[in-house]
Amino acid sequence: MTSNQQQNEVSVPPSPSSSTASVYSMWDAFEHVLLFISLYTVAISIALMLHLFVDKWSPDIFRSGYGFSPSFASFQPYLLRGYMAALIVSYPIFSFLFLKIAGRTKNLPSLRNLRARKIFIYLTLIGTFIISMISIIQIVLNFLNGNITVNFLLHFFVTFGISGLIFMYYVSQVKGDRQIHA
Amino acid sequence: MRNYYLFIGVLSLIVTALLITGFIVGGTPVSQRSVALDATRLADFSALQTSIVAYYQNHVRLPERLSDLSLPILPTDPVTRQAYIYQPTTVTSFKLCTEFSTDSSTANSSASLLSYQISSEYTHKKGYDCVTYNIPEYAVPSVPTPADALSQFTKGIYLKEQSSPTTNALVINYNNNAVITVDYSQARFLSVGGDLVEPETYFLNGDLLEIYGVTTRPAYISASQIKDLSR
Repeated sequence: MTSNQQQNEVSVPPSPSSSTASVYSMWDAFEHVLLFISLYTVAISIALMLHLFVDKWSPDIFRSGYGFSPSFASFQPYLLRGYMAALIVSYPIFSFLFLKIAGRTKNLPSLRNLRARKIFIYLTLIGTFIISMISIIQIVLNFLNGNITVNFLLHFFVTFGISGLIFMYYVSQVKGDRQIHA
Repeated sequence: MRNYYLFIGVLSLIVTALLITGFIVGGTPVSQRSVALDATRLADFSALQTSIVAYYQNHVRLPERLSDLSLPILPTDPVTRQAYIYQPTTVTSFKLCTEFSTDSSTANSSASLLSYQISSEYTHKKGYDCVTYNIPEYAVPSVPTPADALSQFTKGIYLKEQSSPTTNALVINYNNNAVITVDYSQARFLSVGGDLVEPETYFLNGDLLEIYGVTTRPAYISASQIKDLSR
């Protein structure tokens, strides 16, 4: 989309009966949906790749499994290749949409009110919060069971790190939204 | 906006590093092609082995050549399109040979496309090599060795003693034929089905007569036949 087109869209006045969000084209909502889908794909494939690497280079001595390491099987390269394929496909889409939407939101701060954006931000916050909490519960449980191993800690850092980063980023976005509307 | 570009730049570096690590650990597409070719070859070998075992079960010998097998299409090497080379090595083992693309000891360890399918017992080196297969034990018809026959005897010959022996010999009849003859006085097992047997021994165990022996024609006596006699 050229800047000309963008300006055209921005200049369209809201119809009297609709909410503010409807000044943005359906395309904005569509881009946000794609952004979040590609974000989930990128985050999950990076996390699963890192989990595989953790199991390869720091095997679990208890063979209990964090949930990602099939203790009966050795390192599974076909899984790794699946995650690589997912990353190769989704990462360019994610980075393109991320920069595009960031740029557009900067030029047009009211885009922050887009309903699709809000819904997905809050869904992502809930999802990453649940994942982070589960991984903390697991680490406490394993600590109480005396099962803390290097393998387990690395798995924890991968899951908690990635979900925590996404959570922190979108919390900062929500805070930014509030400041703008304050 | 600069922060966003910085973030995407850092993330791109991380993703690139992950992908490079992935290629190192999981194998590059080129190396994977070689591994996949060898996996196809071993899968073909496995199919041939199944047919050869079936042939062995029907004919009690290995086929002389692969065309003896009842396969509609003989699998060929995926690259050269040549038939695989088959060589019987012993009565119950054979070799299948072709040009392999990888060395199984290095390729299977980390980068195999189908590592879960390739058994580590089928090893091969890069280039022309052979994999040896054995006819599995279940497919080899049982021609009992003396030791096998003895174990069959001990399994099946618990015969009830009918009365305390008054004569020197116990003759067990089946269809009015003397089937098993035991000489009590010498503790010898004389004959089974009219054939002389290698003399072994018998034991009176409570009211059971346990006879141990090795026959000259082991296939003749099966445990079930002996059990029939005890009725």
